[in-house]
Amino acid sequence: MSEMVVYALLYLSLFFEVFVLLVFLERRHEISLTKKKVALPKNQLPFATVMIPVFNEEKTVVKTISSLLNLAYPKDKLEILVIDDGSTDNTQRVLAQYKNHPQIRLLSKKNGGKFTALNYGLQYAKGDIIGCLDADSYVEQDALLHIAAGFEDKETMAVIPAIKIGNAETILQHTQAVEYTLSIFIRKVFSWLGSVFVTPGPFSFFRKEVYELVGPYRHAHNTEDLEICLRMQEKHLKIVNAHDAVVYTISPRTLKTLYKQRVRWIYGFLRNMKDYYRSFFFRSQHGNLGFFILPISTISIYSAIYFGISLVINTAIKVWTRVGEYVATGFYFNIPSFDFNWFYINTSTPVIIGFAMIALVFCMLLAGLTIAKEKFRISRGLLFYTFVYGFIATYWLLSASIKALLAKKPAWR
Amino acid sequence: MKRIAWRTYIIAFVITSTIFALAFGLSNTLNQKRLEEIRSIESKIAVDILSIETQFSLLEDLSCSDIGSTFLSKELASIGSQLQFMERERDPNDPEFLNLKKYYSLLLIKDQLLTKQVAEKCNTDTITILYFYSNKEEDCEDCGKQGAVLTRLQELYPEVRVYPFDYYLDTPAVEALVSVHNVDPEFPALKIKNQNYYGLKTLTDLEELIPELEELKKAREDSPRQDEVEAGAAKLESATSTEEN
Repeated sequence: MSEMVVYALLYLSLFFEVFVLLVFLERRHEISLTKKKVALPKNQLPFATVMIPVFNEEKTVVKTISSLLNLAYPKDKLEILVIDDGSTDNTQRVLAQYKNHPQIRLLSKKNGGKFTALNYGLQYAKGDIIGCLDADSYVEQDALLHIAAGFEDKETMAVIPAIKIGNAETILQHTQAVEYTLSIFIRKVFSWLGSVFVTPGPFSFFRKEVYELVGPYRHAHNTEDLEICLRMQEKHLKIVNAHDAVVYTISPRTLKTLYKQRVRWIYGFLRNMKDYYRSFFFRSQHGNLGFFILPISTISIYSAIYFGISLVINTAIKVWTRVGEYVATGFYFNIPSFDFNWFYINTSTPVIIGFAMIALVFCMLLAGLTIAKEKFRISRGLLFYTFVYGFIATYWLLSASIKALLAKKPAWR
Repeated sequence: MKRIAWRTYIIAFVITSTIFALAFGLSNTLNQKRLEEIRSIESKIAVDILSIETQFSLLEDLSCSDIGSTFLSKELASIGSQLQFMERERDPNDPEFLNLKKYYSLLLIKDQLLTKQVAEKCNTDTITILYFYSNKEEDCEDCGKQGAVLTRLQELYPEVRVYPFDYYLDTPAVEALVSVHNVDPEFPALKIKNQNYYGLKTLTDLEELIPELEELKKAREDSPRQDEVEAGAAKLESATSTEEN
């Protein structure tokens, strides 16, 4: 029985990888085309509002605002709304330096959570396109031009950027950088499939009509960026990815903060799936999103938990057995022999499929690097991602799943 | 109504299924190759056994120094570890695998009998351990540890000959061996000299049970190491050649 489960999950995971890579190969010529689209004449550029919800962000908010002020976008076509959601640190004092800035409007309200800050900002937003930028993120100079180019198609109702890690110092952050490169690939492919299901907090933009059509932001289990996207998809509103619009986010430095962030994301995803699965799962009117992408994304969480736990248990059993053997024989150390004998290589079917899957993940990573216009190099982040990250990720996947099952809200930070 | 990329799904299905089929095929082919390798080593051992038996028939005409004392143990140990690996990695009840394992047990018994005869004929002391294990997890939690202890014992004392037998291997020769040595189905079970021992025996336990091991250790410590001997010979040779010059 468990063997059947293993093969079924392996098949689905492999199928997903093959499928997304095929979509990439079919559409890869479009990647170079987008560069040409960016040069919109000034009079055709939409008026843009960027909302920055802020809660105790005294250390990062200046960098975020500065990057917006440096955007290569006409000054008279860009307004910045900074919404202080009841900060208790020096954020207010830090923000005071911008109070007379012609492009910036400072707003303040009682603390109510990110979605309330965004809804508050919406009341003041004048833009034809309205976006959000988390106060721990900053943008590349031409990011908004690429976003604006995405709205050239009148049917496009939202444009999402490519997100990169902006502060990779620790090994954990370098590992997240690898993960984000894979996300750049996945986001592009999902966009081609009409299957984007998250409009991420950092620098996603919406036509102002979107809020009239789907309503304001909701609490949505602390993942309002996912839930509003699902509501848009319910109404078949087009969401595209502008992969040249690059935004950098400050990633968690420590395992503890990374754990909290990931538990919140996965918890939010699972709870929102519970709320929306009837509308989407296997509903052909939602195309690839309903037919495959949302169901496989949900299954992949449980699949990762299953394989992660199996890996942890097997490793623990091996260590325990070794310890037991050492107790019986007394501790000794033999210099490992380097005589290669193929006989002792594990060539069971799941292991061979596992290697095929790792190879395809590397192909996805290379595709992500191509989209992000970066070069491949073997880094410690890549090695950590390949050999260790799976063990650690199991911990927050499991924790978030249990919390989602018990509807126990995780802490925001 | 959104479009579903049916064509891409179908191609992905074909590719995924092909990768699966190739993985199954490759795994199967490599397992077959492993079985062939074991089979070929077993055939070689069978020839060696026949050769020893012939030597034995001629024993009366041969002096003890003409008979090798550790004919097969290395090759048998190598097959043993290969079979152990296969037992872990694939279905241990596979009939083809079981046949090889039965054949291996027969070779072990043959080797053990011949070793015993040589010892009797030539008045040599050979330390022999018969090890009976069970593959049933509930029967023998400590069999893995006992295996590790015996492997370590052989690393430390290559003179010791260990013969592992699957107690429940359905073959008359092993059943006869169990019956001859009166081994009960309690695991791990060891037969050392004429005594049966049950339950895990650590390295220290075995060193206590077999006092000859201490003598072997001492003899090894007293005799100069091979590399020291070689170094000495080289020194002597160089000194001689200098004198000649």
